Amino acid sequence: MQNLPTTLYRATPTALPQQARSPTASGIALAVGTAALSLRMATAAVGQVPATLSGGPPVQVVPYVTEPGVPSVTITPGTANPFTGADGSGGDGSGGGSGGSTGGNVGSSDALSTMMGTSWGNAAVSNATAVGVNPSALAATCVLESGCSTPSSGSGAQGVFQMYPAAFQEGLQTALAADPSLASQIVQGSAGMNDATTEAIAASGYLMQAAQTLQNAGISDPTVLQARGYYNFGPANGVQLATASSDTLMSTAMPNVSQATLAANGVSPGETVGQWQASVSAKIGTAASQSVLT
Amino acid sequence: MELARFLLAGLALSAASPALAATTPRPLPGYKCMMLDLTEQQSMDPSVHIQVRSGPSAATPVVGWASSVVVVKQPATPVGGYLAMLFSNGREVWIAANQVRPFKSVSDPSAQCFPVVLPNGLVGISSK
Repeated sequence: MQNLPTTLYRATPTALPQQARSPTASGIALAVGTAALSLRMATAAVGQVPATLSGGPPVQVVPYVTEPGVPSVTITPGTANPFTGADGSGGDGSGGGSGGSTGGNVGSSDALSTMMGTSWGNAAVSNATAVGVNPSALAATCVLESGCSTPSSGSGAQGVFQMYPAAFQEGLQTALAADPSLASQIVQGSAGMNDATTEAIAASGYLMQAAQTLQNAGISDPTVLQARGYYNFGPANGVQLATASSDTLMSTAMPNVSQATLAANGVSPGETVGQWQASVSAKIGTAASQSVLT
Repeated sequence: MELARFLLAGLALSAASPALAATTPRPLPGYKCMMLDLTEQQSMDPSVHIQVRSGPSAATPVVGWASSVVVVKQPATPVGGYLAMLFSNGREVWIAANQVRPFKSVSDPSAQCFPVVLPNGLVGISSK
């Protein structure tokens, strides 16, 4: 569990010290005393903050002085899942080739209605679509994680999509690789994890990464239900849950995960993958069988 | 090649018997379950990816990421430090032998794991 600060660094290229920008006559004497230091700070800040790129990656402030305990979140647009379409286009043998299970539909759902009822729902739908993710898949995720309402803080997972820093970063990278223009809506640093619009972009990216990884594993059109394990339990466990028979025990599909962690995620001893999938489906309704990707 | 015929036969059976295909995974002889040699935290970390390769060498291309349970070809004899395994799409790939260990569920040491061919043709696992 990690406790993250709620605010970190915002990209504010004009945030120069006031005394350095507009010294007054009466303040000159005092300013002279601090001029050297102020000038140095201003120069350093300008040096760290490049000009905003039109349609390009976000301006990101590199901390001038690191803050102890603050995790580093670095956004690097252009880094996508390296296995996108690997077996389909570049592989020398795609094995089964059956395409696995398919979703095959994108549309409305109760989960989508729930998300649309929030102040940030419209933006989330638009941004998910821009990334290439079915808005109902994104909505199902926030319904499952928090009911699409801001949860109480204190856990390592943050925000309405309850993302950990590593998943948040991976998701942002994937989303920005898909649509760099989304950078203009992103709150920089770890504060973005508690900004619903920013986290929705990251969650969309992470869902896309999940779908692409499942596609590489042979599932041609991953459903929201199939991608749920990836979002909830990470890539290795997620792919396994999507490729386990329904009678497989959850403890078998995720052999490295302790009973305590399973219980913390609502998984009972002896629960099967099929039972877990049924419990997820019951919470998100028709969204469960919809495609993750548009 | 034999595996390909096996999987194709499975697909043909699926097409011929939709009802049976919809519910019944089939055993996959010649393979056994092993698991990634990870801690719990590593196994759930989005940034941890165990690579699988097209051949038994670090010089061969990475073709994907391993899932938590690995379907390893028997006998599990390393070649150049790599074990042959089946990717879920049925393709034979290779994983570093030091990144897997015998299957034993942390939460349920008595749990069993068997490689199967799922009704949709993918290589998967079952507890029965």
